[in-house]
Amino acid sequence: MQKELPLIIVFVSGILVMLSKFFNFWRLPELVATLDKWSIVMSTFAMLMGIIELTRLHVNNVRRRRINWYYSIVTLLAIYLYLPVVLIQGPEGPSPKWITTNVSQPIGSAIYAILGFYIVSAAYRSFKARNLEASILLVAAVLLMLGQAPIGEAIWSGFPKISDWILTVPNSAGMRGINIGAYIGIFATSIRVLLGLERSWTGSGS
Amino acid sequence: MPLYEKLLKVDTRIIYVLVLLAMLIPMIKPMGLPIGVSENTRKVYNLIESLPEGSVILVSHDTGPGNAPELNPMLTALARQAFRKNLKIVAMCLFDQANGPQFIQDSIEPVAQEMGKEYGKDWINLGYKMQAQQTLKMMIDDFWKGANNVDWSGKDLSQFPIMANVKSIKKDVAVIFETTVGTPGYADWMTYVAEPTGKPLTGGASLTMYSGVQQYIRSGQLKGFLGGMRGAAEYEKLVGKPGKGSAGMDSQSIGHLIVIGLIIIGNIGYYMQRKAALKK
Amino acid sequence: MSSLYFLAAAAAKAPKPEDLTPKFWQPGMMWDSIFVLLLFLAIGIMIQRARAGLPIPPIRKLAGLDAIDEAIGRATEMGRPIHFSPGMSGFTAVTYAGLAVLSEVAKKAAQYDTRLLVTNRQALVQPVAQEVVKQAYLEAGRPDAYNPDDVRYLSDAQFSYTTAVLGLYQREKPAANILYGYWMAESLILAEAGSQIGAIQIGANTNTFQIHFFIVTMDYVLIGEEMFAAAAYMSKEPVLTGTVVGQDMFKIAIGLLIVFGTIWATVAGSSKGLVDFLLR
Repeated sequence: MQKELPLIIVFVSGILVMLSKFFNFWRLPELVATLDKWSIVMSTFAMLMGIIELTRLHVNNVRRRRINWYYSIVTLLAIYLYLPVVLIQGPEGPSPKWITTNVSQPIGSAIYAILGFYIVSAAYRSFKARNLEASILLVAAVLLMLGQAPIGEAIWSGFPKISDWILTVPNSAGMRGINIGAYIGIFATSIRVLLGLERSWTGSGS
Repeated sequence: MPLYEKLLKVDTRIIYVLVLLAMLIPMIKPMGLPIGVSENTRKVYNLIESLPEGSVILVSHDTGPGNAPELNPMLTALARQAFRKNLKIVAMCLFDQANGPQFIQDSIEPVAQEMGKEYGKDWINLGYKMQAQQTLKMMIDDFWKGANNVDWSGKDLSQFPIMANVKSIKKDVAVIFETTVGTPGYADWMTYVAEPTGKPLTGGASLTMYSGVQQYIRSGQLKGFLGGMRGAAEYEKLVGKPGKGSAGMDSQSIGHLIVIGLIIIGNIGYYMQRKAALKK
Repeated sequence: MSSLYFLAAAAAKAPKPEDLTPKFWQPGMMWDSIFVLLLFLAIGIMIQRARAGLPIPPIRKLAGLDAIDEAIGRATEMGRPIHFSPGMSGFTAVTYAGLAVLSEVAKKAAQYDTRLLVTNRQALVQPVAQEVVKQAYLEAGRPDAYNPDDVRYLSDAQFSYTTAVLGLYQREKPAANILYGYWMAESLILAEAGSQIGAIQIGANTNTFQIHFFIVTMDYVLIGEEMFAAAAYMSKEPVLTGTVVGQDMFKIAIGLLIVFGTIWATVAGSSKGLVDFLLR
């Protein structure tokens, strides 16, 4: 039953949610609304599981003096000093807000800013006209960059128009094709999971 | 070392310093390049401009700290246009619990104070809402229930006059303005709210996502969309008050030129290498 | 062509949807449910053919999945670990596809006695990923080699997870980096950092806004629906292969509908009649 129970739960809840998208009979909408509420509760418990898992990992790092174990102490302090502050003051309290505004936001922005540098190094390394496809990618990228920045428009007023055409026509066509394929793939995978054909996630093998 | 190897193996540290200088120098000495306005930005502006006085704009500011410099200026410009036309703003976020509500506050509050608009009467910040799909489905018919009956500071919605006339998206919201960087984002609003209710959906996306929303703009499912910091700068220009969006444009220009220059150098090195290999 | 025109005109004059749609159908979902049934039918037919031992078309070569063996072999030779991540989303179809590949990668890693590091962003996925890896090691006959600390939940926050993985790259220097799931803005950061440590990289991403970053930085990329064929491709099970073929049959049907809709829109001047008909 250990192997079958997760499959039964997935099948029943999946079928109910899927039917509720298309049909409206009996008490189906209420049932699915209840399932939605349960999923919200489960997400909250998942956060608790996450904290336990993080604590276990970092305590083990410290105990076994693994490489850079002192950063695990920083992580544990960050979790267990911040937690009581939020519990006492609430997420909108002065200290949590200060930490969010002056620590979390700048760090997040800084990590995101790494993207700007990485894009440049990736473009320099990868955008070589090795073959036809790579050349098309290269030319399209250069035209789009010139079209998006005001300096491109200052050099020639046609760049923004070309850039818009690339975005709205070939780019849209490619995106639509990939999206249609991906969504059908998602649907087919969901059907496989629903019918119990895809079982690797249960840990019980295929 | 042959020249082509030097061209192919420019130290990444040099590249990063060049990028840093490209970003910093225009901020110290702005060039003030003119910014044209695209059709998509005009669509967003015209949609808001067409709303009658007192209409409610439902804003979903779904960004994290990384994309905030691109998307916060969009919200500020929207607030300016909306308050000028005496429209109401009901704002919330689905993406970032820690930072989203504060971004809404930081983007709208200064404009509200400048234009004499009152919190709770002309605009409200409902804060972060969990489980986007379920929340949106609830809000269509029962907005207060979807919002858990509280604003971002935990006060009951019955205390705010603006919410007396916002009981459901279906009946009381005129336009949805969604700033998106990922999931939850515009796709959730489009699938669960805009398509079933027929409400117009517009907003802005980070530049990486902008290419992906084009197909929905062409099909009419999105009524125009702003794209990255450029879109924010264009919107600021239409609204009539340049802000942080416009300020970043010069850095973007120089940055793009640096990238193009490096690509050219890399390709020259590549062709020289191929030629050398053929000679051997 | 003229018959198409008359069809379009007839559709435009057809009775309103609420007059025709049976009451138990959600508004506008009748044709959607028919299409879903068609997909079930296509998959069902192919499953039955597979079970009956009838021939079914094979899945074409997928370089990204073939490269997994090469990546694991390289990691084994260099004595460095493999890094695998099933992506940023919770329990979606994409994560299931990622876990299916994780199972195969873990089995091979166990057989070659190569260390496998798995990082998770979602706390809900963590125990499932641990169970998948544990079971894979058991099936490979190496339960002793399984280390639960090597399957790590790092953080729910996007960039906290990203920086933790960057730190892991610098400390552990994996020789193979497999990013298989749904990726957002961190995709370029992780892929470029992986490239800079010299890892062989295999990526799969359904996020069309980020797939181009993978294409530019990674050695092998699975685009769109290719990633969902992994379980069938790697296990070579006829029933799973049948579902992939059924999915492709449905895609062909959608393609024909697109062609039909394009011709309709060209002849009738607008696709509104067809869209209204399909939205009943």
